[in-house]
Amino acid sequence: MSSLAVEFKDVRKTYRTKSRTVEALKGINLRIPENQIYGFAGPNGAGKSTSIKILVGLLRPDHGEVRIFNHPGGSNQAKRLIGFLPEVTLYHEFMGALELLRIHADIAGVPKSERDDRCHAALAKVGLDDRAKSRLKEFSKGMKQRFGIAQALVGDPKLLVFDELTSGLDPRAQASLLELLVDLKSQGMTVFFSSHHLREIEKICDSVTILHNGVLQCAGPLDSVLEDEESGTRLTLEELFNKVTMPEKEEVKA
Amino acid sequence: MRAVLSLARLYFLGAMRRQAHLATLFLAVILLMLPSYINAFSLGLDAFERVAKDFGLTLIGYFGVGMGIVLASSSIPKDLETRSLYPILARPINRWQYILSHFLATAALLFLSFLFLGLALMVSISALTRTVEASLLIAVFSSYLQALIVASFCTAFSTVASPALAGTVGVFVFLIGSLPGAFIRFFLVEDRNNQFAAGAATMLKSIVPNLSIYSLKDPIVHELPFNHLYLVAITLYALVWVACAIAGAGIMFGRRDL
Amino acid sequence: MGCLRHCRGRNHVWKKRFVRRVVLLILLLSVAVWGEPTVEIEVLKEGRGPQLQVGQEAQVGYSLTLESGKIIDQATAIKPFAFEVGSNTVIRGFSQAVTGMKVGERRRVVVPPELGYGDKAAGPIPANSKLLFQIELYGIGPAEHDHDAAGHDGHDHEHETAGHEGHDHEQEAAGHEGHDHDDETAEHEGHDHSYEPAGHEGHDHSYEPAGHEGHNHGVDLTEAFQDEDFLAKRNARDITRPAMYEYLLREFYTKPWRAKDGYKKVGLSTLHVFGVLILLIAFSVAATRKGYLSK
Repeated sequence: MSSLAVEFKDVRKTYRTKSRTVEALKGINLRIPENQIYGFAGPNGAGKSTSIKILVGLLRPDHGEVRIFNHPGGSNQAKRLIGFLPEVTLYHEFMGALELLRIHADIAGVPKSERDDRCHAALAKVGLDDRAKSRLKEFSKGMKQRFGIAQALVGDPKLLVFDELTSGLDPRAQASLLELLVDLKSQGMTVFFSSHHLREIEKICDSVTILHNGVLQCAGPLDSVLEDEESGTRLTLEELFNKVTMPEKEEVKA
Repeated sequence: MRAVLSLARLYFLGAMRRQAHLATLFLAVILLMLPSYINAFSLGLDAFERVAKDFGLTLIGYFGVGMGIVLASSSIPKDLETRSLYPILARPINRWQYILSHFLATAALLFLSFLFLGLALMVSISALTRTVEASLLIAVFSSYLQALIVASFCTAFSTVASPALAGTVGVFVFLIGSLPGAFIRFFLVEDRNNQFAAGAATMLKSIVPNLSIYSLKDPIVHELPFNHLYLVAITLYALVWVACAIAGAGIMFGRRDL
Repeated sequence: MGCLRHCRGRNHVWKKRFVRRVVLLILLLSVAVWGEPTVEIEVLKEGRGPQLQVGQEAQVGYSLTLESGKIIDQATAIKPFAFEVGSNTVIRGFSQAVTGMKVGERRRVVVPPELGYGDKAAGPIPANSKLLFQIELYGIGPAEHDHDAAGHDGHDHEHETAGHEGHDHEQEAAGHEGHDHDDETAEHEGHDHSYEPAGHEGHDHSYEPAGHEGHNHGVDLTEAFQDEDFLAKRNARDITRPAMYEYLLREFYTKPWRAKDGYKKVGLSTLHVFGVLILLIAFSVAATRKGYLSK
């Protein structure tokens, strides 16, 4: 049990707006072992963003428990072990790359003596060390995403959480980022990322889960999930996805 | 603590970049031209100097509070709007620390502005009196403390409300807080015998910081003596109110779903 | 032929001339009558006391300004101006201005130069200038007591001679001279006001003539009345808004930085707020532990 990176126990979350009440998550049970790349798929409005926010501690679930490496979800100890990159990355673009990274390092609690080394190492890891002094607004989208990964790495996390990492990127940039993820896994990290690009999930993930209407439709190692019991054949992830996600009744904006 | 200061630096640079301080420059120029607005001979030269100082200090006081309100009310909502607060809050940083960073950035920018305006006023008055009147800076500092308190309230309410609403709260705090007790007693009770209004005003005044202690304009302009421990006292008063506002903000923000 | 037409013509002319002359005479007379210079009087506030008769000594406050707005002279309640009505110690216009005034009455008066200083310049007053006065009658007869700054008494003798009841004295009874906090929160000014709204009857307190100055509602204004510079400032103000001046006077003298121990009052308030702060922190720590608040 202690080798679980992430554990969701019957997590529920309901949003109450002026117009209506929406049950975003209806009892999620999830177990993510360490040192894996875990893919998270689901149609829009299924509750992916909500789950991720609860995972990184931005939201409190109404019910249930979250544990990150056995620390309570949302606590500072849990947050210290997580490196997070949200979907929309509007950084403070007037800042320089290294400058902003240093600030992130400070917030992440990196000791002053190690700070500069870590920053340079993170930039090197994502291949941006030659652009350390440039302003972020000069970066292309792919470079900004890479900077985002560097920012997630600077706190020396054990779990990386990415929301729509490759959206809007050209295929080459996509591919290089995926390579990076595999590399990070080989260094002992656990990666959790959500994506609409099922093919990339299929390519690099060890396990996958599909969320639909606030309920986990299936979860587990890629191979076993793709085994279709009925026909005995192996589906593609896309086929599984279509099978599992009937037309949604409601969309939830997390 | 280093996290807070670092983050504050980030927001400070952001606010500077939005060039809010250009408005300060504009007012500074107006202040520097102060002597030319008043015809010295219609007042008498001695009175002229006092009027110029009074006028200048009043301008700085109001402008400073206004600037504080504007800066403080928009700092956090801007972060929320651009969603740049998500990666920050996912870090091992408490919500009150996050709020404190925003406030410190505002406080720093306000400090620079007040300092600049104070110096501009000093230069302007020196042109008249041919001496350097450093005591003006004391009154400016007092106005700064007042603006800090109001800004802290704006910051607090901006965690749960729109910038406009937070700004309105700030204005409200400023108006009620500056109302001298004598005003309530005299005009509401004595002159108009309006007990209800007086009672309401007194109640409101007790939950809001007492800002009337910050008007040091009179002693500075008229060169009347006052105890310097008073300055220490009002500084502590400001700090404790700011701390309350931040603590309250932490509670309000902690309840909020992002 | 002759006389008929002629005579009628001349009669006509005579008539016209006569009429014209009569009209002219009437006009001249009217001009003479209306042209007689008088003072214009406008009563700003009605008085309630006895009426001033010629020959009596009047205690007034006044302000004299020129048409240009320049203030020439003033006398206020602290040291009223005393003169005998009808005597020639004052300009004719001034005597006329106060004729018929009742104690407590306030008037705005315009005195034409003929009843003033005429066509000779007098000090700062140019020749042929109209004089604008505001006059208030404080009392009739010689001043009962010398209003000395330190020993302000709470009694208003002028009012008594006028037969006024001491309705302004309700607050006296409380004996609040040394009384401090009516305002619980120590956050307020260094000086303490003992203002007791309960005793207030709603009478017109906005103007307190001479002897009433001493009625200071518990605020020690002794210092104020001895401060010459302050008095000069106070006297320089227009006497039409006495309420404002009482307020400004009090406000100026009760500012928190004035008191020697003003900082202690502020310090006390700081401690109160600090207590609130501790409570807030305790609450948020407890609530975070319980999960009510996000960290």
